Amino acid sequence: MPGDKFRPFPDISLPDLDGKPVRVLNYRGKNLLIFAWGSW
Amino acid sequence: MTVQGPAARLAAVLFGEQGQRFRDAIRPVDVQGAEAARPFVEAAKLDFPTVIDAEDILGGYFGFKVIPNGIFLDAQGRIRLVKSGRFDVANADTVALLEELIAGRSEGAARAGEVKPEEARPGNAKGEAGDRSRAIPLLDQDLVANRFQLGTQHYRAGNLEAAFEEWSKALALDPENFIIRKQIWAIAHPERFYPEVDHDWQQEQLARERAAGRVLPGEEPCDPDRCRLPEA
Repeated sequence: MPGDKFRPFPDISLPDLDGKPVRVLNYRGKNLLIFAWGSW
Repeated sequence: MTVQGPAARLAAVLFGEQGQRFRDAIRPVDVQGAEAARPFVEAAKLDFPTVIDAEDILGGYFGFKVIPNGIFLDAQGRIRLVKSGRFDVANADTVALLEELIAGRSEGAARAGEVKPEEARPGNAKGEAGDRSRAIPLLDQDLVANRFQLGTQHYRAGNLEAAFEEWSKALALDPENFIIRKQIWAIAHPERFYPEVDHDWQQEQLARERAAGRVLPGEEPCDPDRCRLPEA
């Protein structure tokens, strides 16, 4: 396992399409791919 | 799920036996909010979480100046891969790299256009322009983020002139930030974004702005005191 050279993801929450907050770090325990895109 | 090509390998990894350990979260960068993103999500029949980052919080953290971007976190919530610009899950190299990360065969990568995971902090992400992007001073990074968020608040309140002004001032500090530039274009030239995005126009407009030696999208440079939204 790697050491501490990898930074932790910031503890942030963003709203889903219905406005419900989603805390990204709640996905700990699983790998997570965040794909950032825009409608334009 | 049935897909073809390299994307099928990623789908198999994500949703197959190995995928039981894996979930996708998609984060649209849409100042216009959930209602702008929802049609795309529904059309693509996405069945993983979609969140809205209307104030570009992650863009500010990672220094993203373009989209699309990819961020891979391991099971401990650590940043193992950041790819700024042209992130494509259908790209064979991207799929191979993600498979290596999922399988624990790679610690993370720093290839062209990617940010070393240990360097994931504001201002260090390389944009679509590759090494032509510049790291702006930290103080200016904060100003860019603040003006962008303020402009977003104006936009949501229906104050397009004020939004244009704040975003223009942000862009003046960070002229390679295409996220901000496109937001300005979207309110200055809505006919080029709705109902469909005219990508050819965007390339032409960028060429016009650069040829004119202008940082800002308006026909006239900003006055010392304010920037004016182009007249329709």
